[in-house]
Amino acid sequence: MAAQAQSASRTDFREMPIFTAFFSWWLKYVPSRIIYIGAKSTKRAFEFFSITLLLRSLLSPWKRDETDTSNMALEDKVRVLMMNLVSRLVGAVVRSMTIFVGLATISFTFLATVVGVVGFVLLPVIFAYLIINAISI
Amino acid sequence: MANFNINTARNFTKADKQRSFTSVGARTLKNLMITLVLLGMFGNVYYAVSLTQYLQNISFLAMAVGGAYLFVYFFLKSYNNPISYIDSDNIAESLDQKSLKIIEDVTQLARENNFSKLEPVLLMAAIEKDIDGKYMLLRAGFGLEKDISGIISDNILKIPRSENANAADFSEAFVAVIEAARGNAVDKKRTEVKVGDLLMGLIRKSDVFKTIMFELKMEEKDIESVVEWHDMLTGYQEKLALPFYEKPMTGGIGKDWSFGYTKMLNSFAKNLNTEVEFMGETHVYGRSKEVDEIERALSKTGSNNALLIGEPGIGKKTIVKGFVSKIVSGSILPVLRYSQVFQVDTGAILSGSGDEGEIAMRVKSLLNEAARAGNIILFFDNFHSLVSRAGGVGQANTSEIILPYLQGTVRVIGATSLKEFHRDIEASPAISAVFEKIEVKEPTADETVEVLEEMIPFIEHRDGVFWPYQSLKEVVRVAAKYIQNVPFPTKAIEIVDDVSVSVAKSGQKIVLNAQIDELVSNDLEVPVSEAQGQEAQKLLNLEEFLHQRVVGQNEAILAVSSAMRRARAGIESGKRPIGSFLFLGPTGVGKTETAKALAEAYFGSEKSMIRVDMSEYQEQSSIYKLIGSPPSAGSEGEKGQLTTAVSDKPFSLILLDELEKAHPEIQTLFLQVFDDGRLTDGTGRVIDFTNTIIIATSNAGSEQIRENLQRGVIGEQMKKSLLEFLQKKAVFRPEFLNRFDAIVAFHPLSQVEIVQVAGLMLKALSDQMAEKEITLKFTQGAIDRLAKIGFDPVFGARPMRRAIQDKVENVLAESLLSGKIARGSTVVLDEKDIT
Repeated sequence: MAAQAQSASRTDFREMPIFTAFFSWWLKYVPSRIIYIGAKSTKRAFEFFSITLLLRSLLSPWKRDETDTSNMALEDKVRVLMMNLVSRLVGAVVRSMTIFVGLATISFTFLATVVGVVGFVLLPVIFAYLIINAISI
Repeated sequence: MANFNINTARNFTKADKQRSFTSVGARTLKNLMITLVLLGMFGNVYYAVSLTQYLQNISFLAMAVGGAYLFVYFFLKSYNNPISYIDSDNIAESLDQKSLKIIEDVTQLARENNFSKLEPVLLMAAIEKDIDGKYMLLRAGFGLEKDISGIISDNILKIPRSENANAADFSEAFVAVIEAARGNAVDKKRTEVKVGDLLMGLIRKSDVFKTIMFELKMEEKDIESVVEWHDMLTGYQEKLALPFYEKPMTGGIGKDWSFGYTKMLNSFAKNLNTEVEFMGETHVYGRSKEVDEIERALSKTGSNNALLIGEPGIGKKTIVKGFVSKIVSGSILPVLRYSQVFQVDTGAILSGSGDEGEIAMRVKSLLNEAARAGNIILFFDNFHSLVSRAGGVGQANTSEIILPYLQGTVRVIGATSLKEFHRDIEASPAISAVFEKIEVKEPTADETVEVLEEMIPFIEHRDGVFWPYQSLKEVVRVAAKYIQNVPFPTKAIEIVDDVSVSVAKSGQKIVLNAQIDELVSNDLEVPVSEAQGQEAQKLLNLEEFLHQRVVGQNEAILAVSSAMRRARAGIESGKRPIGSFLFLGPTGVGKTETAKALAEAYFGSEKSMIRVDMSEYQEQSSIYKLIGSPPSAGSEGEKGQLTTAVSDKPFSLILLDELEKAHPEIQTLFLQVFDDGRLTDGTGRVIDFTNTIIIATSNAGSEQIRENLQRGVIGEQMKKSLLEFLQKKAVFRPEFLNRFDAIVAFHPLSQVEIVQVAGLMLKALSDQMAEKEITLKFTQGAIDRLAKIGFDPVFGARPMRRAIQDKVENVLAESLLSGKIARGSTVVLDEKDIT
């Protein structure tokens, strides 16, 4: 797979003259790799925290642990209904927290990707800034 | 000649430049720059505390210089990463990095040895230095069992040398190899030529390599399989080495929270998802159709269950694991996402309680739990045992409990065999109707080799032995030919397991064909290797061996011996019985004795003879007694006497005694056996007869033989006259007679032969007495006398056994018991003693 990625393609920067290739590598190849990894990581975080599944079952009882109330006396029915409600509440709380942590992770991944891309593109500028500052005493 | 120029190839130029980035100096400088950047960062932090301006300036400078160097370094390293051009005019540009390195090694070798031409044999030597190349060559048996160094050195010595040799002067043969390698890569839809392609090029275009592979019993398609095997294992390694963001997601942490508890299932079933996640994906060869069918069946609305029908050991559980792998890898239909497959331990449910009510409760609880959890697929191996009407240990009929759940509440995968499907499941139409039936067929020999290829690395790791490809082929060959009652792949896997452990125990490191043959031969008591050494001698002298037991009957012995030699030398088609003979002749002339002698010679013991008295099959209906009756709903059918015997002991001599007395329909049945070497029994099983020798005997035509002999008609003329007689009298149909490899006439025994028979039998008795340390001798007069008593014009030499019993054995027994004969005595019997 890795070897296939190395194979020739018409837009491969390695085929360009070195000067053009440098700009292609700096402004296109590496940023697009960072974006690719960022997008994949975001998707993975989304799946890891099972956000779709948790949203779909947000108000469902915890581990489907719900007692059937048919054929029960009214008093028992009320007690069981309360228990079922608690099960749902527990489920909702745990799921909401997980969704929150998941969304936070996704946001962080997204932010890291943006910083990564911008940072890499600006690297030569940063180097220039550092040198200018180093010599301008 | 195709263009192959490494001096102008772009990938070679880039590879050359890239080497400067991997040199020690370049790597040291890179590490130094990384340190500089880190120091700069540290200094900058320190500046924040100390506010020393010059420190900040130095830090900035260090970070800028180091960072800029690394920035350019990584660009140049990436830029000089070689690219392969599969369709380039210069074939050298189609090579990948490893192949490119191999060619460079070849040129290096040429420079060191002043070769003026680069020949394919040097490529072979360079491939062996590469780790992938060495791996594939070892798998192909290169340098393991046979010493092939002589062939290689002879060919290297043939290469011309010159002090001014141009190291890059590739021979036409060399370029042809590379061209063939590229052709292979293109055929395999690869974008570059890999080491495996170079091997394919060698086997196609290099005479030396072909000679070596011929010596190692490897053909082109075997090398192709070795290359594919290597690619498959490399593919798995690459998959394992994928970065975290490329790995497949298996459901996430919320998966378990959204589905119910499975307390009962955890006791009575094992979660296959967990197993697959832990052990890694199960790769199912040639079974994607069955896996897809399960997926489709379980995705339907309404009854969504699948029933796998196939013989035990055919791979039904592996198919289910393949399906689970699809779930785990996320490449499944949306409706089955997050599903958990539990393999229910049917035995545990049915055991520990003789009460059917308790079993029913367990099943109900399980199904309730699965229904409640919402994402459970239940897998019942031996599903029939839950719905069996037969009763008994390990069986229960819970059809009525299960049925409502199967109608859309719970997804179930069942597995059963064809016989049990007919007997238990088909007998309950309602249960049968809720399943989508999926027939699981036995994998082919080639598919089985692929299954073994996948498991071999685990076996090798376990036992510390190495399996070359030839050994896998031998396992499959032996399993296909000699094991008939177990399907592929199980029978091959069992052999691999046994052989691997046995080789490891013996302290050896490489599994050789001879070890496989020896183990299987010992287990089956049949010679499975190619005839050689002592066995070949035995075959060459088979007539002599048979004549030790059979007197006269030269024509019969010659016909049988020739057929045996053809079979063991591998000339036989392998799709028919080893030999089929019709022995004609009067009673007591040695027909059965010849059959017994042959069983001993070929199968090692006369116990390997299945004797069928065909006079018991005179009615048409008796056909079922012979081959079994078909199963019907609720009953599994009767076993056939012949088919069961052959199925249990496929390496046998089948003696069909008095064939002419069997019903003509039964005779017709054997047409298929003689032609195809197989017979479908009443229960639908195909019984293999290719490892049997079939001998039919008949007394029909005895008179004809006698008359012919009296008139001096022998050989082909006798055979012709006999055939005419048999057809005229409609004893056998012409098409039936034509199927035999040989029709052999046994002539009545002459007086001299009768004496020889008596002599043979008495010798056997003497040998028996010798075991008791008693020497028993007979005078010629005694032998002549016994020959006279033991001969009957109608029954030939048959009464001889009785005569020896009455006249000799009884007397000896009495003398032994009365103490007249003791250990160490010598007894000589003469004519007078035979009363």
